[in-house]
Amino acid sequence: MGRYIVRRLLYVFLVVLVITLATFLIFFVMPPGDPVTAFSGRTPTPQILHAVEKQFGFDKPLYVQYGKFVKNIFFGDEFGWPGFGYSYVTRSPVREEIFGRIGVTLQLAVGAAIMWVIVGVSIGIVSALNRRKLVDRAAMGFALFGVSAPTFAVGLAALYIFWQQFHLLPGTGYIPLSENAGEFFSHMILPWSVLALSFAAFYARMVRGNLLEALGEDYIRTARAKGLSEKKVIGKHGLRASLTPIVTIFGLDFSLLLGGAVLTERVFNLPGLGALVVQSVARSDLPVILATTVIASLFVTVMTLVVDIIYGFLDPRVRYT
Amino acid sequence: MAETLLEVKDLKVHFNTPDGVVKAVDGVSFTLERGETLGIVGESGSGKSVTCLTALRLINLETAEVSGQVLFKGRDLLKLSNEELRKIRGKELSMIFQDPFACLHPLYRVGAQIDEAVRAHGDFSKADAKKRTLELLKAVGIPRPEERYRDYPHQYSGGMRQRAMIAMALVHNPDVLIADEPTTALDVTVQAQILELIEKVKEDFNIGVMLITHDLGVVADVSQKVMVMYAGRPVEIGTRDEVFAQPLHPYTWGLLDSIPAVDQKGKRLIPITGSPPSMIRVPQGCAFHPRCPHRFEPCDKERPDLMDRGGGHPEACHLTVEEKKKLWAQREASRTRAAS
Amino acid sequence: MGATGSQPDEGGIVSQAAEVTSVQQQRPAGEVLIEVNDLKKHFPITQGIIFKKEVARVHAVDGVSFQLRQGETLGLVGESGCGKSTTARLIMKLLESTSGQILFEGQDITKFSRRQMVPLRREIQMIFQDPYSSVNPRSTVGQIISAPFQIHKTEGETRKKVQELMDRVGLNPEHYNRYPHEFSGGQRQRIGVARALALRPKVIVCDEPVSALDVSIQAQILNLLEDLQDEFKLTYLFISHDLGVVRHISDRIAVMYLGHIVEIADADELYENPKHPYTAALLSAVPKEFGSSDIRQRIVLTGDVPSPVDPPSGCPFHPRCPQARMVAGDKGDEVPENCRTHYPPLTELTPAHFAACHYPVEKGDTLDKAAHA
Repeated sequence: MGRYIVRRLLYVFLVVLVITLATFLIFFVMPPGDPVTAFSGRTPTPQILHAVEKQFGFDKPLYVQYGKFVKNIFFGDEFGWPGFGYSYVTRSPVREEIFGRIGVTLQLAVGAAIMWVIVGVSIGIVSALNRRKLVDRAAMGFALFGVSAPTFAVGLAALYIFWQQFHLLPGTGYIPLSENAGEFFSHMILPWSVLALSFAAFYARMVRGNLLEALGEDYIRTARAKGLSEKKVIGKHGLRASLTPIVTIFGLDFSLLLGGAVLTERVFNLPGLGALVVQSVARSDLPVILATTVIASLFVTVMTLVVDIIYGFLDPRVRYT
Repeated sequence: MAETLLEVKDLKVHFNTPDGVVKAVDGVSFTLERGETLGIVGESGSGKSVTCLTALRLINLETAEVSGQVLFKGRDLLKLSNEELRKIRGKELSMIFQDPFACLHPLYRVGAQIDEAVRAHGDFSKADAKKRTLELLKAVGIPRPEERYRDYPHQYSGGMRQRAMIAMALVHNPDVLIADEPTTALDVTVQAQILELIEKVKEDFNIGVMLITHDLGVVADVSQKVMVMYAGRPVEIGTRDEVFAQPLHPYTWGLLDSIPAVDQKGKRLIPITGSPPSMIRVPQGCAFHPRCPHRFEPCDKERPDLMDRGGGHPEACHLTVEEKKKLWAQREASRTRAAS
Repeated sequence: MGATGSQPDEGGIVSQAAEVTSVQQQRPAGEVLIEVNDLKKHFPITQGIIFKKEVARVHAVDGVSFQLRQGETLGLVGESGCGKSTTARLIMKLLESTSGQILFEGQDITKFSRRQMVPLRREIQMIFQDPYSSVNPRSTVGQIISAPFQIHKTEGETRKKVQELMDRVGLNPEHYNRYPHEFSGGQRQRIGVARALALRPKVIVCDEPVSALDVSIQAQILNLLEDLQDEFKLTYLFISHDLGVVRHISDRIAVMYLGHIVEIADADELYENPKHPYTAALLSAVPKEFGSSDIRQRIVLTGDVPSPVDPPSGCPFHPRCPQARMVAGDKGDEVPENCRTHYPPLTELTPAHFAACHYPVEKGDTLDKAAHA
């Protein structure tokens, strides 16, 4: 087990390294336009250009630049750890920009995750137990809608209905929890619901399928044959088998969201990582794009490891070698 | 006089499928007495498994139409409420299945699964349940039960899993053990161990055993009574000696001739021609007639009833007992000639 | 003895070593088609953070030698995990052997590359337990059976040929365009037989070809295989766990246990006079005659087959062997010293009857008592 984790952490390190290399090449080497010019303001003099080039090391060979980039990530730069350098646009350190926004994204993701797990799993179970009955058909109709409806459209429609038509909820924007809890929740409830919708629909279908499959297994027949109540047969034997695989998928979905729920954040005007990415792409703010990419990939790789370890506890057949 | 534990009367199980009605079981009657092993033998699709699963209502009743009676110590299992039935399952009437790996929950420890069976009936504390589980693991011959108690199913070998299943079935000293192809998935030497165990259990606990198998050898080995099934109906029921010494149905003859014997070589097998019928379109008359070499005038019209035509045990074939005895004697004679 | 031409030095050593085992089995009979000498297949189990280190090996096949002669059926029998299917796959070169030698018509094919094997593939064909899982379900029967023709680019009149084959194996030639799922299990196995037969091979390796079938259908396929053997002068390596089936179809039988051949003899001889206690136990586990009312004398072996990762020392069967216990004097789990320490070589006990046992069973020995002790 210990060996396994060590090996997997080494892989995480390796993956992050590869990703930094790839992003570095994509964003610094391949794009048209010179980062020096981008950083030097609108009407740079040759002196300024030269100074910028020197200050950020653009005059050095590429491998030195990359080495510095990686070194800053792992050991920090003059602004602290991890070092992602300056934003071209705001002229402030990228790490501060990102740290300010991770919190918002995290709040959005956690809230939505709680909603979609509760809603998705319960719908899935109810559906499976009432297979081919009206409840099941309705639930699967909802799931189809949820999976196929585009987030931005649902988000805009929700805003229109709850905000503009019925004034039930305040509009877009973000109020920190520490500032005003009531305002925080009333501002977050719509983004949570909208973000959770497609996931809940997907999870409902998955849980339904898994549970139906599990209920057809021989060990369910054994559980019945030994005289367990139907509640135990389904609630214990059936669910345990059908929910275990959900853990993996949940871990990956959740870690992907931590890289930024781009559409939801845009629609509801939430200052999260996703919004930052969109903004930075529009402004060609390379250091920010790079930093968010690295962070998002780190979330995914680490979460994959966490999921694999948890899975080992949930499924005794998984062996770590 | 032995006590009748289970009496099945004219059981029919028809499944509604998009392709039509599958007549999986179409009129089965038999009795099981305390202290005897009833072997039910037939090929896949003969309805032998469905018969047993229906007895415990372990089939999907939503798609099935069930008629007839399954009387267990006088009570009709098909008419009990779910809760009444639950109280019988695993307590008075237990079942083990073909594939012991698929039948144990892969995510729970074997010990915990047997504990659960103990605690499903009556008031057992956790410690008492564990004690009972260990007792049974030991009784079915699992070495180092305390250690094995904590193992997961995948850490058990096939034979051990089947032993664990038997232990689970026996926790409440049931009256009847239904074993659905209990040795099919196992190796020959392990099969011998499990059959030995089932026999021992039957003796020690003085219960009735229903053994479902496609393997005539297994039936011949451990059963006192044999029922041969074809296309959802019994074609012959009798004691083991009656059925194997003087089988009275051409299908039974066909089965016996199809099996390569271990003790002699060279004899050409005489297979039954054709394939078993679709259970949706069971042939008119005797279901076996299209494959029967001895069919004659009424076979494709009238379905023969299961009854004693004077041959000593009930069978379902239009041929007279004299004809059947003659045909069987001819077969025996030609076999002896081939062997010498 | 076919020594390899390309590697005279290494080949010389190998074939010399192999000669010792193969000479033992020599007997005047048909021409040897396939000879296997001390064949081993170990699957490594590795562990390690970056550099994989081998921590254990699955000894799937652990030194198997036998000859397959023209026109005969050699039965390979044993319980699951004994290495019989791995042996078949090694001979088919579907797996690379760890060590040992496979000769086909005197030619060493052990180290043959995929391309070198192409002309040989038409000589050795295989039939599987479940033909359905080994064919593309979206191909028609015609396509499945004609696939070997296309690989080997021989016939133009594929369809005519395939339909002849279908007719020969008892399939309706009009079903040429049907799909495998439209056939019953027995008919699918006929498709598998037709496909194996398509290139008129010399040898067919049959891996549990009737295990998944009902007895009445099983008998049909066995009869078909026998008829085809006569008609096309085929040689079979017939793998099965069913002792009755193996007895029925085989001329000679090899019994495998934990990667070793423990006994090999003519079928009648082996069944009437088993020398290895494992063979005796296996045979006692199947009923002899259904009509007789006397319950057979079953030798119930204790315990399970040990793991091939960590096979027992000496004779692999010694922890379960009733004979060894009896020899040691029925004192619990005690077995003779040499059973624990030395692997008994496969020795010719009576002409053409080989067994790998320090204390072979004599006719009339009752092992039953020992087994229950």
